[in-house]
Amino acid sequence: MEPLKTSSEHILKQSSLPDNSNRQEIIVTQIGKRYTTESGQVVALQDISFTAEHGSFISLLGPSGCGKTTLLRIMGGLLRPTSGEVLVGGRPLYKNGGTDKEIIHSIGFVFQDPNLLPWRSILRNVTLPLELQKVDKQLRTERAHAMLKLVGIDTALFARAYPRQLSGGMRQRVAIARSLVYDPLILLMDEPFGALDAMTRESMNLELQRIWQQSGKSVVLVTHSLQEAVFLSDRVVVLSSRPGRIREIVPIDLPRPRTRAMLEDPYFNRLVGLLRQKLEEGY
Amino acid sequence: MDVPVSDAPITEDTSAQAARLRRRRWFTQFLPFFSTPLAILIIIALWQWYTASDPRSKYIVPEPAKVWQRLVEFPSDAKFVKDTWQTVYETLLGFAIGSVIGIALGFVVAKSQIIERVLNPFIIASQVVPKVALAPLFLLIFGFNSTSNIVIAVLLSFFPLLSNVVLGIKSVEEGKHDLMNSLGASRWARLVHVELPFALPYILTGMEVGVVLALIGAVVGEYLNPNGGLGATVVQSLNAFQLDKLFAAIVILTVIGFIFYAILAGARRFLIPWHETGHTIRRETM
Repeated sequence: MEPLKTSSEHILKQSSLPDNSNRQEIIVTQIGKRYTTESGQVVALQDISFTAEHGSFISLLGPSGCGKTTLLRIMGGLLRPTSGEVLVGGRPLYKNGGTDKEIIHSIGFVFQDPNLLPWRSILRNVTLPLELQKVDKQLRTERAHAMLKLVGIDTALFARAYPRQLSGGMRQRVAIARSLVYDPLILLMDEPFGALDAMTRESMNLELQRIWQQSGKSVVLVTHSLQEAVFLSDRVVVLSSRPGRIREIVPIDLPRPRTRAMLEDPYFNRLVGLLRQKLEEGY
Repeated sequence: MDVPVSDAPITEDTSAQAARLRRRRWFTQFLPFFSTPLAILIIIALWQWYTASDPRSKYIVPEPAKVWQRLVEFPSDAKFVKDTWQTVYETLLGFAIGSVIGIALGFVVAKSQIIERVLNPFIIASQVVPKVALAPLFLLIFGFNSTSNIVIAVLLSFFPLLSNVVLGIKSVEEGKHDLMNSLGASRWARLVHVELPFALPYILTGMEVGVVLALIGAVVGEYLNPNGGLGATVVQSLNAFQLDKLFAAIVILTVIGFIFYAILAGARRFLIPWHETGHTIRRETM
């Protein structure tokens, strides 16, 4: 499982980001988001500040409707905040009239829905980001094969299949491969396993941990599963709802790598209980 | 129905039930190959029976055999063949121009709300006006020649394309836009990689309707236009009371329409095998 190392240098040459070690650090400062509706203003997010350090795994946890997806979209350059700033590697993500394209290219986004393009084969879905970045064909095919292997898709069987022929879990794996293919430094994931059954979800969590550890990327994961948040994270940012504010940032000091057996561990469950308590306070 | 492909090998099911299922599927698939000719034969038999039993029938319908005779002689009837080609030419040219206008205008309207607001009243007006009623006007403007017929074909065929393209592009899911945004895609990349492929099934549906309307447009023009074409053949045969030739022309028009439609339906399978309406992806069905 070393395909990433073998070909990632090629891709890094393609990207023109200056090399500095803190460039995968995301600093979210004083983020606020208001929507104007017919019945007045709705405050979705208020005064959100936290830092996702280089190589860390952060989860955003909160009741539904608390604005965690909104926050993640703001961090991914998909939604401009009303106030505050997102700094990636010390540079602002939002510029006048748009986003910093170089930063956008250093962020991978995994959506709730896999959002695969149904007219493209699995392989060509994964190569899409590289096509947009004008990477040459042989290289992008190699990269895509490597990424599909990394997420556990048998390319001999499925590279030429179409998304509709795959199960939900496999589609989401393909979506993860697509977000990794251009070697972003940061991975933002919006409840990627929300639609999966509990067993598949557990094994996807294990795989995500493995991928994260192998690739050394910073990950920010939106989830509403307490177990998932504890299992994967270095720190869990607990949000309260209406307006979405940071309730507490809970460090998770379980040793790595985390295993299935830990799910039964009393300390693991104490952490889950702590998160549940913080969540309830947030209502 | 979508059945996910699993990693597990598909076991060969040899039970009697599976065989029965396969037979039934085979039967449904090939049924039209038997039912259609049979239905046509029954209709022709009734038609023959009517013309044979009622002497007044010759003022209404010709005998099937006479129509058949006309169709057999068709290749040697130079005027008839020339008229057929003229109709085909007018239909195809009208359809091609109508498609280009419809698709281009559809993209512009779908992408720009301002243009949509400005153009919409005119687009709708161009549709609610009974264009067939305008046909005589086109003859005055463009003269008694093929051009008038082509213009009518264009006018009739562009609208289904336009409305389908607009529908197609507006139906692109928000998630696909999010994806392209997250990848920092340009407007052009979005058009080429998402909107165009997404709209393709809609465009093809518009074309299936449009090509038939183009044929109608061309024939309506020809009705009024002694210049030639199968529409003119129909009118002239009626005036000369050559009902067999009139029917032969209608049969040929039907065949032309059917061929155009079949080509586009074939294009659907070939161009969009991934879409639910194109069925070339092999799927395990329950």
